[in-house]
Amino acid sequence: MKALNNLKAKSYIVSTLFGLATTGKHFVQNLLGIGDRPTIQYPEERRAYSNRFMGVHVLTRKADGDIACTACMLCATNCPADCIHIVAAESPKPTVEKYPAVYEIDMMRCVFCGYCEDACPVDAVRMGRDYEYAELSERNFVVGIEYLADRPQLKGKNISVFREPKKLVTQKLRKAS
Amino acid sequence: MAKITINEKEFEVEDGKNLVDAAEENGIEIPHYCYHPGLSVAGQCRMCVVEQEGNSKLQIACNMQCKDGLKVSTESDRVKDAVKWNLEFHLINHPIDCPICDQAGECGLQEYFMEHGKYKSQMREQKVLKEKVVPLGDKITLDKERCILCSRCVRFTQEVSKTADLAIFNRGDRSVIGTVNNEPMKGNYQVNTVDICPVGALTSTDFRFEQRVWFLEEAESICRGCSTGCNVNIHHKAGKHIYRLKPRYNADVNAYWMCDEGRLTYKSANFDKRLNAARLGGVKLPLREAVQMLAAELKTLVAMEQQDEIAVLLFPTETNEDLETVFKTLKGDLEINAFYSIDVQALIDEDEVKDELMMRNDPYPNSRGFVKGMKAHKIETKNLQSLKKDLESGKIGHLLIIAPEDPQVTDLLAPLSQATSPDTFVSLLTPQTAAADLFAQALSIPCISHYEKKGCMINFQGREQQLSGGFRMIKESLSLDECFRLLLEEYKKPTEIDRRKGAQQ
Repeated sequence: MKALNNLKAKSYIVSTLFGLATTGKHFVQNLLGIGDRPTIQYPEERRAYSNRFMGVHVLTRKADGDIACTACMLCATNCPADCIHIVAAESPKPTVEKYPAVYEIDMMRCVFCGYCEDACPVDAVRMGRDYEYAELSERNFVVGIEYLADRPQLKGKNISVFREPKKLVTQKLRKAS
Repeated sequence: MAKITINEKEFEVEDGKNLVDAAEENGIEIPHYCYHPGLSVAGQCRMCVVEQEGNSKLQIACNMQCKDGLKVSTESDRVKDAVKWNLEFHLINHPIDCPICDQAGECGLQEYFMEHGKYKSQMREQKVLKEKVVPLGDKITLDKERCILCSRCVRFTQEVSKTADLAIFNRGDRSVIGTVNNEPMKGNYQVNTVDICPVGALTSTDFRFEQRVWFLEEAESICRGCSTGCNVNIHHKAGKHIYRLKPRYNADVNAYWMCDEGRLTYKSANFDKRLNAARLGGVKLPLREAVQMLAAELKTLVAMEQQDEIAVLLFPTETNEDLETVFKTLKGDLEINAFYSIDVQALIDEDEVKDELMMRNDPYPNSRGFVKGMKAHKIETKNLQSLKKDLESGKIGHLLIIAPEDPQVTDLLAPLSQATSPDTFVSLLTPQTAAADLFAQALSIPCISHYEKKGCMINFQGREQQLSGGFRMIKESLSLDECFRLLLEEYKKPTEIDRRKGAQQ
């Protein structure tokens, strides 16, 4: 009985050796690059994200380069975090009635739920794919149209798929008058 | 009284009352666009159809008067079908540009479409395109496409404002609303057409794109523009910014209407015009300290028995309750006798309607209440000319000005600021920066604006009307009542000298 107890008391040595063996195995594997490794060499290596991943927003542009947003404020209404701030104004273009003079998203408040994208009737705001987003000051997280529509990461891929009706009444009538 | 039956329920209503109104009174909604209780009956929109017992055809409720034995149904299948198809016809040429339409959120088409609409449109034709964004003067923007030709605005300009600016032109689906050659509209009551427009055809240029209506909250108040005292609803966002005023129904004062000048009075209450912190000689200081300073200043003068050097200038723009506190504190506790104001009695005597409908000469909302308060406290005010003389002769050592945010008051203050010598200490209780800027060396304490006030005012008819404001746009501002309570509290506190005196005895 005593001998058994003695053996039990010393069994940790065996467990420790097994543990060391596992550590050593992984050390050698990782050193030589054998088998699957859960870690990756970020930022040289990147993970593939799902197509549904919701990152920093994108403001789309129409085919003619104008901002697609009509400043209807449905995104701001739908936003649960209350992080979208829009100031609507009369557009300088005669064919467009209303446009956002200011469109700001407070990235610190945003919960990336994508409700704004759902609410938008003209595909003007989309959830983008960028997730690397760091700033030095909290103030810099309030981003405007320049960042949301024209940041270099987008590489110009922000054309709205919303098709406007081909006949634009104001254009026609204004030309006549 | 007449007994009528709507949907097999009996109601007792006034004899000869319009059926739409009678039904609404009893909680039954009959959809309608062209009918407006303040205007004549047109029967244009055909939305208010009901089934009358003993009549084989559907009838319009707006042209039906209640009398004994009237039996109608608003819920029968025939009526529902008729309303559904009617709405579909109204929407044939409507552009459905709700995202950019200012009316969205309070639009008759949206409301009834959700309730009675035919959700799948069978219309396959091209919509008739019409002019958009037509400015009719400075106040109104017209969108001819959105119009459903209910003719409410046309009847308004013919029957109420009597300017007869608007009309329906052309025929059939080319009918448009407008003025001759898109000329500007005339008169002081144009924006009422925007209020009564059930769709977004007529929109207010002042409110255009400013805010979506579902963000706005309402508060009841009284217009400060003149002595008529129109009942208004203040539309503000979270109590931080006022966006517009809309008339509130009061049969005895303004009915459904309100003048355009009155509608713009909210502008001077918004933050860009407001004093947001107490100032002394242009330097900001905490509110409490400013009131303490004013109390100390008054206390010194009273202790030196120089009450007659204190003068008070105030205007009939304050509520009765505020005036009561002011008079009680200044006359009762501080025993000040020199009150200055404009000649209110003369304004009341010459008060009459200035324009085509109801705007009055007297530009202050509470002249009657002011006179009443003065009489109750046996105060006689001297006019501004004598104040100017007294200021120039150096009789006044301390001038306390209670100035509202009204721009015309600022104009009255401008000559006084020039007459004020550096020896006179001026303290201002005002909501606006312009008044505080006039007296650069003064002690200015920020007050709340007219539309935030709670209390009563007496209009030209002698009718006491309530303001229920209740929001506070500038955090560091005081109502007159609060300000004078605080002032009296500070005034009654023993000072260092009093304490020393007490110790000596």
